[in-house]
Amino acid sequence: MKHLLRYPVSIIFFALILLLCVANILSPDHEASETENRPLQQLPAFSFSSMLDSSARGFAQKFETYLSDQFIGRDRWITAKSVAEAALGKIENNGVAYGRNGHLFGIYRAYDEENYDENVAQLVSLSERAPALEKIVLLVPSAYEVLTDLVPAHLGNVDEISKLRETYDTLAAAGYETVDLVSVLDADSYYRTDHHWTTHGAYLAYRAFCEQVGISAVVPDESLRRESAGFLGTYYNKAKNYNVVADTLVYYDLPVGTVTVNGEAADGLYDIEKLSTRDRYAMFLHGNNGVTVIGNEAGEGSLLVVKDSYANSFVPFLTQNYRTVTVVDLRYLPTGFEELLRTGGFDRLLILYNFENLASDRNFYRLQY
Amino acid sequence: MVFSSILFLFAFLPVTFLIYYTVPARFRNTALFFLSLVFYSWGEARYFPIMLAVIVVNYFAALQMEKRPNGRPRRFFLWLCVAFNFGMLGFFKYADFLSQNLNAIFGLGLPMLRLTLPLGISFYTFQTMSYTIDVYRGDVPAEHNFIDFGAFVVLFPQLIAGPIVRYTDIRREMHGRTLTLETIDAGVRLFLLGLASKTLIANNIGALWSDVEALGFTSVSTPLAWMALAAYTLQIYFDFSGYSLMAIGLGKMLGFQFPKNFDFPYESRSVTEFWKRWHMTLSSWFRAYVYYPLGGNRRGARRQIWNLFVVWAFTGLWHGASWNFVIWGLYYFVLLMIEKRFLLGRLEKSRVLSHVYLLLIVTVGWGIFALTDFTAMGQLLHRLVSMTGGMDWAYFLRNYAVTFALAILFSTQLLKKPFERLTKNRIAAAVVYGVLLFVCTAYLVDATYNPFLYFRF
Repeated sequence: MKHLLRYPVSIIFFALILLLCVANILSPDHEASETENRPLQQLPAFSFSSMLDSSARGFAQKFETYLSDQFIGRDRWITAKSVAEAALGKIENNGVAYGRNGHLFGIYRAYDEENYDENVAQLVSLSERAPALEKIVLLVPSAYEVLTDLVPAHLGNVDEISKLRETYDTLAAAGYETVDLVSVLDADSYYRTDHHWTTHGAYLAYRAFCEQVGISAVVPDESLRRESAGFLGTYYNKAKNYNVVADTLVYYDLPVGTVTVNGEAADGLYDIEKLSTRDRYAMFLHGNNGVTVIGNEAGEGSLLVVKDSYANSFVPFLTQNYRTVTVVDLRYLPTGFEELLRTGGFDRLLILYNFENLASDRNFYRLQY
Repeated sequence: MVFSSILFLFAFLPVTFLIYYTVPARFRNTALFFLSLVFYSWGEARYFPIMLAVIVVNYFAALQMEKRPNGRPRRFFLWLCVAFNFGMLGFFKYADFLSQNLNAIFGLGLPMLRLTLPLGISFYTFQTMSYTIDVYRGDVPAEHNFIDFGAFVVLFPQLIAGPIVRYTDIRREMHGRTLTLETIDAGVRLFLLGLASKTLIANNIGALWSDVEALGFTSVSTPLAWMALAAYTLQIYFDFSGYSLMAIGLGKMLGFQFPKNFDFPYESRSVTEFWKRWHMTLSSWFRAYVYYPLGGNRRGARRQIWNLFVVWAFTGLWHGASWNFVIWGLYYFVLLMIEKRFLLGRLEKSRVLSHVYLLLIVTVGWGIFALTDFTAMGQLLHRLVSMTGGMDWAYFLRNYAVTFALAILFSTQLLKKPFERLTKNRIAAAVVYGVLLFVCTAYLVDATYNPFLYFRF
């Protein structure tokens, strides 16, 4: 034994690989990872044919994914890697760059311009199919385009502003009203740790929207303001920076009538339970759903919103002005949009997308079905 | 299976060592043989028969050669092995390359097979050939024990990325080796250094190269293009030498002494010296089995130039089935010729200039090596000299400064002595190597960026 102690490096090495091996076998498997927001690989079933399958569906690859997905203390190892990266003086981790004041920014140096242009063309053609409808578009720039002082120098992200300007020109020519959000949004308009805009940012955009369409914006009563502190968003889940500054998620408990999500009655504008999970932003409007309809007897007119998740914190304000707001997320509505548009009796159509989603979404063709 | 993975480190290795260290010494080769077959077949079980065929064909051919002391039958079995081994390598690695070229020249419509390479085929083919040729030459007796021979061919430590271990290197150890705690400990240390080279340095600095490659070389400034290429230069060194170190370390843990493969090549002062310090087992393989059999330098200067040309064209081609690798090989052929003629003497006169010269040559060389797409290669090489301005490098420099500094430092011998002195102390060694293993594990679990550069081989 004394002899062995002369080789502490070997002791550490063999002890660690053996212990972790045994611990991985003994520790119970998890269904899903909250941090990573995805289901985890379970122990794959072994069969002769799956053994011969060398693709991602085969036993070998699934087993490897299983091992790393279910690795004991996975989240803590990932945090340890983030700390090591910081020790190496890195100012990014897993595709997220560290800005000033604890602001995290996505690294976004290229986008699929072809797909973006196709999506814009779909919006133009939608306008041609519904010439009588009032139409307005709000395109939300990513945080780095607004919080320019806080972004690491020469990060080299895509120039969204000039592309958005170009898009607005195209859409204006096609009959859309537009609202320039770059000049509207301010320093508090984005979360530090999440890619979405804050409720404050959404409210500023709502005010600008109201001004554009000529209705008066409501000022929510401060007594309706609710806070959920300690919010760590999507950027944090990627970067896992040890020096994170958590956000506070704000929402207003606004009065509404009936809310239906995909035809089923839902309880209010928010899914309060989501506030106790990692993905708190999903509380707004019960997350992303195919069709959400919010009624409010006190409002006037009928609005159709085609949107991404940025709209989820924006729509609550709209419900204070409109009698019905119908919210469509094309990602979750394979067919039925065309019929909805034809028979819904809408006064106005609002398109609300963030630049990155507009560039990457592949469901705009569904506007025709 | 690759070394820098959770699967290898926390499943394959513990099981392997438990079995290997507990079975009686006479069953160690049997254990190694079967464990290595699992390692080889993992994820590519359909290629298992190929490995078996390689072992069987070479095993029996060598026995036949031994029985026939000279003449044509002996030669027949040699050529049988050459045709079989290189036929396999050619089919899996070069068939599509050949078809592409034939299609381009003759307008044929040969289909692409798009085969994945059997694991380590470039390496084990060369290792097995060394055995067969040595037996043919009568340098070594044929191996009569099938298990021992099989274990040599498929031996997992050096199967995928070298060093290219010749049968003569480990013949004695195949038949009996002693395991001491001292060599095991030395092996563990080397393995961990290799693992850290690959996971902490190569992958990290490699991210800069792939970031810039994704941006496209036409949209970056000249300083950033150089930074990216410097990053690739460091990445390929730490990736490759890291793998060799892990292999040598694992070898020691199992009781083998594998030959050294890298000797701080970036400290060289000429291309001639560089190739004596970079992937040393490959150069010596080509020398022993191609250059000398062709006549080496014994048949006059002209013949020697031809021989070197052949060696370097094949060295290039060995690295991948694409013309850029051939060009990369010939690039070194030309430089070696120039150095032989007159440059070598002059390089020796200036310490600084010779270092600058070598680093410049090697870095630009990696630019040719890294890009199979000639358009991208042209864009990169043009951008290196186009003096395109811009500040895009500033972010990358800030992000990668420490990684660069560490990589450069560890590619020289500056810290070698102090590190050895430090880790002589047991407690210091335990801390240093413990932290390395811990951090490597964290990176492997994170594993967002763990591309393996050598699947092409």
